[in-house]
Amino acid sequence: MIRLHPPLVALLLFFLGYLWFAREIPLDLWASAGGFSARSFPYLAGCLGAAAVGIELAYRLLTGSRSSLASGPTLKATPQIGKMIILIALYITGIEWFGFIIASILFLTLGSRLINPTALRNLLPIAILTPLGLWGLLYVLEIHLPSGSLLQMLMESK
Amino acid sequence: MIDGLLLGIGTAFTATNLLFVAGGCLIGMLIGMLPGLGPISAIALMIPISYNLPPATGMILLAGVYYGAIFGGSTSAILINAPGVAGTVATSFDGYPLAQSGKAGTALAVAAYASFLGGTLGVVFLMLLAPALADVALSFQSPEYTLMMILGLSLIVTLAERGQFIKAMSMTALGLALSTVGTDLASGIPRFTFGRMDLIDGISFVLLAMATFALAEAFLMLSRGSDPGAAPAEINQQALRLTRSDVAHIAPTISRNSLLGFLVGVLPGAGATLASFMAYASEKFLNTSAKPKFGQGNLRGLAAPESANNAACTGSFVPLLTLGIPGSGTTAILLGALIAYGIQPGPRLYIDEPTVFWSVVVSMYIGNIILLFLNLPMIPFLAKILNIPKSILAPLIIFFSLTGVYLISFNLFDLYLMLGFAVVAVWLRTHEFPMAPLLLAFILGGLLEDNLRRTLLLADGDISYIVDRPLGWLFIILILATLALPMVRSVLYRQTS
Repeated sequence: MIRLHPPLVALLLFFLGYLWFAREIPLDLWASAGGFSARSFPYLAGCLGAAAVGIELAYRLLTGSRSSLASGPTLKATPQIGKMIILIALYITGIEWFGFIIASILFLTLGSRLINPTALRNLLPIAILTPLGLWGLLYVLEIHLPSGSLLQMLMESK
Repeated sequence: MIDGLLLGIGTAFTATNLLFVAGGCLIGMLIGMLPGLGPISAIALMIPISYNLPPATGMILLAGVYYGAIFGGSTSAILINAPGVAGTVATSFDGYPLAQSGKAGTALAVAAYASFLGGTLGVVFLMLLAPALADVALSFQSPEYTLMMILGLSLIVTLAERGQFIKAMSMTALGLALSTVGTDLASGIPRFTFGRMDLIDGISFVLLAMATFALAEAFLMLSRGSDPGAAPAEINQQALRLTRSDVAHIAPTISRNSLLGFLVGVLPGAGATLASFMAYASEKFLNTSAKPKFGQGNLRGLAAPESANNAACTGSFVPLLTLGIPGSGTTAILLGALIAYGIQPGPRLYIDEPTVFWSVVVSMYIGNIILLFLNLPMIPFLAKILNIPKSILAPLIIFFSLTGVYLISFNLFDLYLMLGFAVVAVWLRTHEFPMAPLLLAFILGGLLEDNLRRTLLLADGDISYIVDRPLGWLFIILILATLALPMVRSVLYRQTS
């Protein structure tokens, strides 16, 4: 039985979806002059992608073999990666609420402990000094990072 | 030319100007090391300071910042696989594996020497060839640019490992597809934005590079379970001295790629990115039996893009100084700075403002020397980054990558998008889909579409117009040769073995 290669199937679906949405791009005024519209290049890219992935899938279906071009995964996803992705998503949300410095300190501390429960004494200086140092450098360069909605709400309430 | 050079030396070699070029290099390098803050940001940040200085000193400061930022970008690409600017993506292909195998010091030293020589040779080419090359740059129009972008894309044949061609092709198409997201600049029509204002400006290169390289690398670090610091980075000064065989090994690479980088850099719009990819691909093609293999820590694979991108940076000054045409975002800012000083770059710049022209040229050379002397003592300390335990290094890489992307748009949506891309990139990388063609196609996609559209408008839709141009056939032969040669070589290799 032929096992379809999941990334190739996903890419094929992506390119087909991309071509579908490319059809909905409105035609522009310039289109008539050279026959090149805002849709043309997306069609080109989508067709190239669908053709490349389609050829590979067709080859696998016809030969019934696992092509060397589509080998299985070489590295395994681990639960740590899943947890880290959730932590990053929380960090991004946290920047908005708690501000850059607090969210970053929390992220670096929790992120490190997620990988390895390092001694807090070694970890905390890096987790605190890195965001503070970067914030200070950017402040000097007049680039201001968010202070957080919660802090602003607190300031306004006072 | 000798008189001009002496005038430039006289101006640049004052204590004040030397101080400014050294300060510029240092500041540029520190800013360039931060992912997301490339030479454009570094120069833009320095412009208010330069306004208070005399024109020559101000331009010397900005040129120093430019060089420093380019080198700083290479450092983060080598140490943490975070190429913060497009020109240093190719540097990470072999620089990062070298650092991972415990040769971070050697990698940074080779990058420093290659940058120095690339930049220096670039300055020599600039002095000798600037006026002649300015005319060549002018003769390049949309059809030539279209073909040059296609030539750039055809390099994926060389970049792809054996047996990965289809995967590389699909990644190229994916890169081209992603480059179409956002407002179509010619028509003003939004494409694939799904009504979201966050996507109107398209996807930034830094976002994609950080997602596919730095963030994905941090995830893969967790997946591998091994500690990147397991191969301790050598930190003594001895490691910075290259052996005679190392020098003999990389010297021809640096020479030919400096020339290649400079010539590509001269062309407006092509720039350091295309130069570095071309250099890497050509070097990989010329050294098929190299050990270690390209992509696994080959010194030539590191020296080629490094020398080319620095020479290209110098090359980009040719259209700026001789024609008043900025060839890149960075030189556009420099053009703004020159105009703010009341100096109009163009063919008369040599004659009207010889002090500015020649002091900038000389300061580039001084900047290269200063950068080398600043960098070499710092390398042992920089290399220590890799001795940080994985549990601390991985979150730090993620933190710097996210901050770098945030600094470009100040939009949290970009960070979610980056996280999404990183997850997809990890999935694809675990199935051995190469990321380099994706980035190359993403960079060239916009330029290719723009030039193809203009070509077809000029030719009223007749594609044969491209072939009829004087350089058309030359490019077509180069493209066909690039596509065919690996196949021919593979057949010959099989026959002989």
